[in-house]
Amino acid sequence: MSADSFDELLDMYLLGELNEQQWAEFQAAIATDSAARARFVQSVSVEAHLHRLGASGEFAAARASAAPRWKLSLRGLSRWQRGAVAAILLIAVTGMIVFYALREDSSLMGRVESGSVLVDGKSGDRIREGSSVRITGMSPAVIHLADGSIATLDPGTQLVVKGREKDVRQVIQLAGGGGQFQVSHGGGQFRIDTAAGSVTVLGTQFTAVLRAPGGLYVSVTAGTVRLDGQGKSMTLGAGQSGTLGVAVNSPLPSGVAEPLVASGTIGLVDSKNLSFVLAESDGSESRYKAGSKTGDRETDVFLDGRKST
Amino acid sequence: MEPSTLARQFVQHRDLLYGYVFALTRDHNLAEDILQDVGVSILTEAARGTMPEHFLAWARGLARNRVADHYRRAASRRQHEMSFEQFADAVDLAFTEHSRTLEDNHQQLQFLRECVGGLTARVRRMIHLRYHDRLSLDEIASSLAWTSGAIKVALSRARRVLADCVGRKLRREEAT
Repeated sequence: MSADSFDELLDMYLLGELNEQQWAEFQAAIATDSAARARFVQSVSVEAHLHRLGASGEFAAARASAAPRWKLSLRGLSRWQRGAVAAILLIAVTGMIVFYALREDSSLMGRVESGSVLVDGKSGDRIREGSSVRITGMSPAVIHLADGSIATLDPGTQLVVKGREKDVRQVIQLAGGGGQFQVSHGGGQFRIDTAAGSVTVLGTQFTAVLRAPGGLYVSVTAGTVRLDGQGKSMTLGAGQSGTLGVAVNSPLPSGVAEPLVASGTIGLVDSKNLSFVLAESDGSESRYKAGSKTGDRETDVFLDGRKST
Repeated sequence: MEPSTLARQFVQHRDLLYGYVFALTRDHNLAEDILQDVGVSILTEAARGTMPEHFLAWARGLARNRVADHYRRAASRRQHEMSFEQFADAVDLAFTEHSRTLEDNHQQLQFLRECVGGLTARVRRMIHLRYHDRLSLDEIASSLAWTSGAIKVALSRARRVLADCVGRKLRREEAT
């Protein structure tokens, strides 16, 4: 088989377009022809490397430099023709200014979908590169990141969305608290930095639960992540968990209350004393009272994630 | 061999193993998923104290098994592509024959960067849309106001030019 014919089959292989006969020819060429094998290895290697460079954002510069270049010359035009060109340019420039003013800000890194969140110290739903985010409500907040990833953050969580750093498409600096992170498929690595260490997504998708500061606890439900910090490095697959820093069962940082979560059917409600009886799934009954004191901690009652009044 | 050595070797040869899995699957998303499983398998084997004599051949074997598992599960695989073992043998042979060149991943990446830099601006834009934005041929065609056929031809040509360019640079490097 000639080199050109094999190249043609190779292109079709990469596009998944080989029919039965072509597939047989392609397979036979690789099995019997060393030149075809060399070509095959070279091509799939280039394809894999292009994929890698693309995922790490290396072609972004190429895109910018690929912008068309042109030159406008007014020589040889009459006065009214020059006036017309100037008017067209004025309209075009005004249009572009309006377009860019109305366009979505490219520094936008994410949006708050639900929950009570302070962005850069103010109540808001737009998260930009470098924004600090604090979950102020008593229920988790959901944040959709620009790369398609979703973070469901626990109350009290504080983090900074740092955006792209070299090969890493999204870096998040987690200062406290934690949550679940579902990282979208492809587009390079996703990293969460904490004082105890960092978590890097090696594969395509994962869900992790973090607790910081003091210790970093990661539990992976899908995909693979890598933990680095304090001289240790470990890779965790689905169903595995790992810690860096302190033990998983270490006390929560001071000021952070461990929420009591109970579920069941509400029975007797005493509206005068703001109390109710909860029939729990194991058959037991407990009485809960809103606004009561448990030690130094004031207890609030939340029903379906909302504070009960 | 220490378990950490196996993990380090996996990271070191990740691109080569990705290329191998891609060669067998020609699907980037699937190749990423399978490589992820291979990584977990390697670490599990490392924890068990497995000490392969030839890491790459051993890791390729693990990857090949994962791909075969996938195809056994995927009922949608076309009948004429079911001769997986035969094809995988040929791909194994190809990767074994060229293992020395493939192992210098860093240099290949550097050469590829240089070769991409030598493409015209329009082709670089197309490469960006394909490999960074992961657009389909139709989407690239729509974005660049070309036909899908023209994009297919241009992409094939670009891949061929890049493969030739990298190959030339590698041969020149070997000769010096």
